Amino acid sequence: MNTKKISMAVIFLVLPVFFYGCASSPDTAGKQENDPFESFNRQIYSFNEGADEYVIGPIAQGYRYIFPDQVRDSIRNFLLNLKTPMSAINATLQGDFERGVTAVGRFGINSTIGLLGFFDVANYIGLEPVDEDFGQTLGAWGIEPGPYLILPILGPTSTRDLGGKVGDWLVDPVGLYLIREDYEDFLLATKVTKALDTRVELDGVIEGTRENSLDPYAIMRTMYLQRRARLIANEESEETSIYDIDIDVMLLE
Amino acid sequence: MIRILKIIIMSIALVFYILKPSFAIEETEAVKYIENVGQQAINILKTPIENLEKRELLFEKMLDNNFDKKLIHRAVLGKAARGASKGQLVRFGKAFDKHIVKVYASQLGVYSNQLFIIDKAYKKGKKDTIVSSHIEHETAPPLRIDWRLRDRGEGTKIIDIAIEGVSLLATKRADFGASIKKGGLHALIIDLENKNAQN
Repeated sequence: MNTKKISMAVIFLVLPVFFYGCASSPDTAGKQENDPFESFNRQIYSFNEGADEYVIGPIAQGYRYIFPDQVRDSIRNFLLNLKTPMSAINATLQGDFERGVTAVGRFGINSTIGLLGFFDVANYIGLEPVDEDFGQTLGAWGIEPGPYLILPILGPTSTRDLGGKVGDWLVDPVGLYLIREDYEDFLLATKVTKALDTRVELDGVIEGTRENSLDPYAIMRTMYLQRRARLIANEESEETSIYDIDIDVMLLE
Repeated sequence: MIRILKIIIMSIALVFYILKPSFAIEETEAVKYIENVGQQAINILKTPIENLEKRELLFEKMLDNNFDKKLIHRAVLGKAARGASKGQLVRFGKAFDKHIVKVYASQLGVYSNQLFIIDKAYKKGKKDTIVSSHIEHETAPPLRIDWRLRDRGEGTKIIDIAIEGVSLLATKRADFGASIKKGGLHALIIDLENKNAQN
């Protein structure tokens, strides 16, 4: 491990302590969102909106225009497959061994029979996609999101999820393999393609929010936090579902 | 003194409003209810997107018949509703309903053989029943929709919807926060009416 990676590891170890200390809101929707840097975040949001309108949005539209739905589906499958070993590790760290094993099975089948993952053969035989990151793992361990953040270009996150991204980067087996074999350019290309694909997928939500809301920043913030809470709950548990929001408290607050 | 008295009376009224007897609906009944609502939603999707007027009419009807609008209005406003006159609340209700109808009637998309499937229903606390469902489509990942139902003595009503885990109530409340902070309920009503006029 080189010095850069060691530095990142130290940051990664310290970050959870930082955001655990900062955390003041529970990981459920409908309660006061933890956004102490709102003024700064709004400035970054405005910058990102400009970048999206003039650069990222048009490129994403070009991506959608060039590649038909089926091709984009295959690219999405391929990218998800590359992430699957990381998802297997995270599902296991969350104590969800069943999904951990499912992820390993999916990676094996899709990387071979599924032609490097371009075809999601595993899904046809009942192995559903597993998409877990270290931010979700930290959430499953009970660490709260901490202050909400907007990153330039990368968009919304929380201090917990930012730490999670660093964690993923440090231990992602596929990423480490590609770096070791000097395929950094390819790794970067996969990240950029993933970002474009996500932008295409979210096009309706982004445009709808811009057109119909009074405060798009606040909408994006609450949608991000609610969605992450849902992903951490894995949509399975009734006890930890989104409906932890207390409507009777909402009437009073 | 009169202001304090007014606040006390309003607070008591709000507590009574919340304590109004509510019943968690039986799971089987909740499933039937949402099956019916799902059918209404499919009928809206089957209406051509160009016929926006009819779509809005159908959506408005669904909102009137199946949603507890009064509770939704109050929950979205929170404490901003305190001290508001009846006229203000009525005006907000109209603007809010119109806003929701316009947003969803145009954004619901079109029907292309989607399947509406109910997965399960369960009680949440003493008052609510949640129905989990999803929409299946050949070329898109399943879309998860959760419905929260409550009976406040006037029959079963929907009090919130969460699409892919994102609650309508929580989202709209966040959306209105800045307007309320700027100038209270009055500012929010003006902003909503202006937004409705734009769309």
